Amino acid sequence: MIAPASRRIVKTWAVLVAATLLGFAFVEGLGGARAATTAAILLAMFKVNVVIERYMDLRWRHAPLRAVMAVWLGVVAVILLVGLWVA
Amino acid sequence: MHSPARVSDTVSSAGNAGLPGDEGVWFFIVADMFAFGVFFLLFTVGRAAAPDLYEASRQHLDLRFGLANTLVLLTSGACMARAVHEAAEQHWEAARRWIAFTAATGALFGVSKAFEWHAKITNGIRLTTNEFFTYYFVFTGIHFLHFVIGIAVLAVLFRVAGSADAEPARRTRWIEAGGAYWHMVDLLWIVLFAMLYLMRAA
Repeated sequence: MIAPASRRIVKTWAVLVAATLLGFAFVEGLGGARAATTAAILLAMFKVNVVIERYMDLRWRHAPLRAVMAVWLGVVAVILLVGLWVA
Repeated sequence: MHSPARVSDTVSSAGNAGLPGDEGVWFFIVADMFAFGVFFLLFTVGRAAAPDLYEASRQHLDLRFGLANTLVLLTSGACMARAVHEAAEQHWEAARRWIAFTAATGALFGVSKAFEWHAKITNGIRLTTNEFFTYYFVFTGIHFLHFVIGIAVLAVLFRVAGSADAEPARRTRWIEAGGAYWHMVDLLWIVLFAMLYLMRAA
């Protein structure tokens, strides 16, 4: 029997891999350049959030640090998306 | 039958306010992530000023390397998460095994990066080729340095996990802290991959 924790880790890994492949597929030909890149950046931010919550184990722990991570993620997303759309 | 309490829970309730690992390591991780945030800002400003140059340069990158590196680090991160879980359950041999898997899969990232840089340099692309490649080599180089430190940390954790003399709580705290560092290497690469390889021009 597979332990719940192992199953959760494998499921998280599968979600991250699927998001990576989807982002790659967007940029490699699905959709217009700007829309595809926007989708790829949003998927990257989603993946970072998953790593913070599931692998760094901060989902339910230490609210102040979780908040700092959320601010970082928000700032990086804004930097990349604004940079993409003003260029 | 009650299952034994996770050591990490004991550590958490013993004054660490729910923080996995060590406060000093988390301080370093946050500071490092904000430093990389400045790198991302610099790159984005440069890209906005010269979108054609950045797009032409980006097309010289091999997306397959970027994709492979990302998948390798994600897999390595999953192994590390498993090692931390095993350590929290005080399954030290399993923790050691997963730390070894983490290092082994992580090492593939180093090999792939070396091949990628070698291919660039043999094609005449260097640090001084243009602004895009200056950022490319500097950012991926600094990230690579973090990766090398991470491999050294994993070697220490492998030893710590097998050190029967150390207190279980202390061993778990070390492995959680090292795990957090390794995941930081992973998440910074996720952003670098999106920014350097996937940001196409309109």
